[in-house]
Amino acid sequence: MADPKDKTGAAGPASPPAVPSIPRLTPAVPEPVSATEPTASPAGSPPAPGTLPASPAVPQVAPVARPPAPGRPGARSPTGSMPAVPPVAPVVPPVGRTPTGSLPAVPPVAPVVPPGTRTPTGSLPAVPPVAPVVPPGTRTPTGSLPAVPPVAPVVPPGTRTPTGSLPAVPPLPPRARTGPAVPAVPVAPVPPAAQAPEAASELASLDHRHALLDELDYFQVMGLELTASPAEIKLAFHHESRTYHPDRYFQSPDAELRDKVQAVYKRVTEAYFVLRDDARRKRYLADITGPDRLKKLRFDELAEAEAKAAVKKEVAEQIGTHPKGRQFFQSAVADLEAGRFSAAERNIKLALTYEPANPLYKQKLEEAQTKLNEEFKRSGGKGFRIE
Amino acid sequence: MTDDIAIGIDLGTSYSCVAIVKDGIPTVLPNEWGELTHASVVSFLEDGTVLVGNAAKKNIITNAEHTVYSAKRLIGRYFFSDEVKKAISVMPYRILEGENNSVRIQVRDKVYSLPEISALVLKEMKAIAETCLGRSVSRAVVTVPAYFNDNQRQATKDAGRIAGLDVLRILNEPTAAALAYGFGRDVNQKVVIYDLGGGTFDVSILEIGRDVFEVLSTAGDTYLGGDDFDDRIMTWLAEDFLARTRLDLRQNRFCLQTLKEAAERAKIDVGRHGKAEIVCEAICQDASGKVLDIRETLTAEQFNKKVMDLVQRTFKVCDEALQSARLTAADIDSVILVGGPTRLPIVRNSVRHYFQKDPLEGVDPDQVVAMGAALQGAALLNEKSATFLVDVTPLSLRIGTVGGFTEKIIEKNTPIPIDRSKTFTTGRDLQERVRIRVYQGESNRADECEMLGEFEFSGFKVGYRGDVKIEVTFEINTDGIVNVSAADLDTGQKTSTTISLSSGLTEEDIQRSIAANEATRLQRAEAGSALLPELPSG
Repeated sequence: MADPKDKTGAAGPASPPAVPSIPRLTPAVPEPVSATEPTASPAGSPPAPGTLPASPAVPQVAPVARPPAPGRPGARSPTGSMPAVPPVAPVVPPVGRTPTGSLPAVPPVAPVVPPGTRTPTGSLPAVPPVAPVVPPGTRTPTGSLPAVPPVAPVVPPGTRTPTGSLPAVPPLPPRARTGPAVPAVPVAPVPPAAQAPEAASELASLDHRHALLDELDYFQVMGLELTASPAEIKLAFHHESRTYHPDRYFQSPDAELRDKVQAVYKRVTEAYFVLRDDARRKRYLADITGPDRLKKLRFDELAEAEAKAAVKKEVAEQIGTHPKGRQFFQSAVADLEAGRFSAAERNIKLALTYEPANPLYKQKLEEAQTKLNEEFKRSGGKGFRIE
Repeated sequence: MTDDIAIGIDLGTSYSCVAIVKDGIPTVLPNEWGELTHASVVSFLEDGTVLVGNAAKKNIITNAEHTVYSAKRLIGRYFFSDEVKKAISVMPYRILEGENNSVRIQVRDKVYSLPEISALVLKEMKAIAETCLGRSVSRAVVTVPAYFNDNQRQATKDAGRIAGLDVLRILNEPTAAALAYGFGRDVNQKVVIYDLGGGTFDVSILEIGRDVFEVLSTAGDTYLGGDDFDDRIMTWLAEDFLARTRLDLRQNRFCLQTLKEAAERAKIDVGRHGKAEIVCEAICQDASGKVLDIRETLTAEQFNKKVMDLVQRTFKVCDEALQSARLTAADIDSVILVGGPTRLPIVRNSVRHYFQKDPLEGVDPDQVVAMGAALQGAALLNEKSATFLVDVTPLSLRIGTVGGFTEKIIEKNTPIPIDRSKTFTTGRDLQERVRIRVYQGESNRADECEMLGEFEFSGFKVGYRGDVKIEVTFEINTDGIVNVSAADLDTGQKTSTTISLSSGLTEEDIQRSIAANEATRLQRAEAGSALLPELPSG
């Protein structure tokens, strides 16, 4: 998810980046218990119905907010809620939830903003119109608390920061590597201001990720750069957990959706398990930057260990484990190549006395004996042979 | 929140507890007599009724053969395991061997599986919640020790089903405790949960990042708990008595139970008052018919000496957990104590000394787990669930290989849910089925690991040996329960899987049990007959 969004951000003006991140944040934000709810709602959770009633305060605020808003790309949405906030607002924009639009003033703003910020256009147009309409309904959330406005701004920044930082990092690199597919999906959905859109974008990005799952390396899965620090990895993991934790969809009636979330999240935990361990991470990095990248996108310690053991075993067999046996075997091989089959047979038998279980020796012995037999037949039974 | 509710049940070895989230606040539900914790004891009366809870606990002495306790020590275990062998020698009720090395308990001509016994306890918890809330309850989150293996988790889940509960989640006890502590508190901390229960010891290290509860590592000992402390006192009393009278009280189950009860009380008294008077009047008669008593005084010092090694053992486990998490005791921000025995000063002091930190006050060690379970239940039912638990698997998942060895598939302390795939091939030409044994444990040797089951795959393309490639996927889900599936890599066809879990109940068994369980009358004991809940140890 992070990736797509980030990408978007990169493409558009400064504020947009924030937007992408929001969707994920949203889930997290609501968390605070009831008391916090006001805060939460501004941040991202559209739902917060409880807060609505308080709206009256809003009107006043709105006017004030507006002015500043236009200037800033992000301002548009959050603004309504906070008069004082304006400065903060820009940051907030992602939230977009701007129900704030509620205010009469909004309409003007909205139009302005969209062009600038909302490149995604498709979504934008929709927003402005909505705003006026929304006010009555939506407004409540924002208006809900006079006090809230200040809070709201505060919270988002706080929360977001972590995310903000991550997304920025990850998106770019992964994208570049992965290719085209990733960016496209996320972008479109993200912009929508309303929550529903948010959810939709989340779903779209989920679909997208799920489809690409087997083509992404762990860094891409987590939305990280190859050089990410352990702290960033942890942060990213917490971030992804907030977005893709199956518990979020526990009640969802859509079994397919739940399966997808499971699949994506399982990959996230897998990625985290490998990346958080320096030794594993190093080996994995070598794997995916090597020639077999596509085969090694999923780290398999076991396979690695097995492969190593197999090679070792093979080497041991080639040469043998006993020095004397090895010596006889080597001369037997030389005899065989030179066509001295009976000498070869003798030497292998001697080698086998040192290592009776070596399968390679046994195989060579068989080979030498067949050759010997053939030779015997060819010579019409005239050759000298000791049984 | 929807109008659906889910209760959180802490199904303990000695005591159980049930809680629910009301208006965002987890609350422990009392039974009719205001008791908040309930003995995990099931007593079968002569008239066919069944008593559960503190009332049943009274019967451990008078109705010993028909009263089952500490079932959690046996659930999900094989008949040949050490724990079961020990139980057979100690428990007054009859333990039998069932099909496939499973454990069964015989009470009054009826044979019960362990999930059925635990189901009765769960059913009682459900009844308590229903009485208290005045509505029916069908969903629950049930906790298990973090160190429980797959068999034990599965059996616990089965118990929930038999009790008529939709078990939303099997949650680890320490994780539940951390949830209850960190919920809505907006903390960013590394916390240690030191969970010494009646029969098990667990330690988990979590990193709480606001709403994400990430378990960094977990370690435990399923053979160490408050009961072992009681045992020490019991042994001391019995040996002492043996030396004085040449009578071995442990030979008689009635005497043994009386001793056990006295020992538990002594442990609690020592913890509270630093000294315990032990009085067992008329515990037995000698050959001449003289009635003998036990009167002893146990001081804190004596007690500490007897149990110090047990306490030390817990810190070995703590070492292990810290090491897995790559932390030192100094990195820990908070220490949370869970379980009745952690009320003992010796435990508290040792923990303080080990972590160089005062354990958190204000956390009720008996209730915190149930509260955490309730919170998780509420979070699962709430669309916008606000907390995210990322637990780990406590034991490595392994598959059996030739020669009685095993190979690791998923390492312990891997975050769950997770899956891993491995490709297998056939060993013979025209082979039609492949058999895979799955183990859990930390040893290379199969006989030192716990076998989870045998999986047989068939229905793949038949071919020459080595030609057929079957991809087997091992998954550990959010309950910590293992699932296995297989697919033929060439045809992409899912192959059929036969799972024969050696100790598990089959679906038929469960259905039968559900029916039987519904028919069982749970008699709620009369008021006043219940024991006061005192320092539960689990």
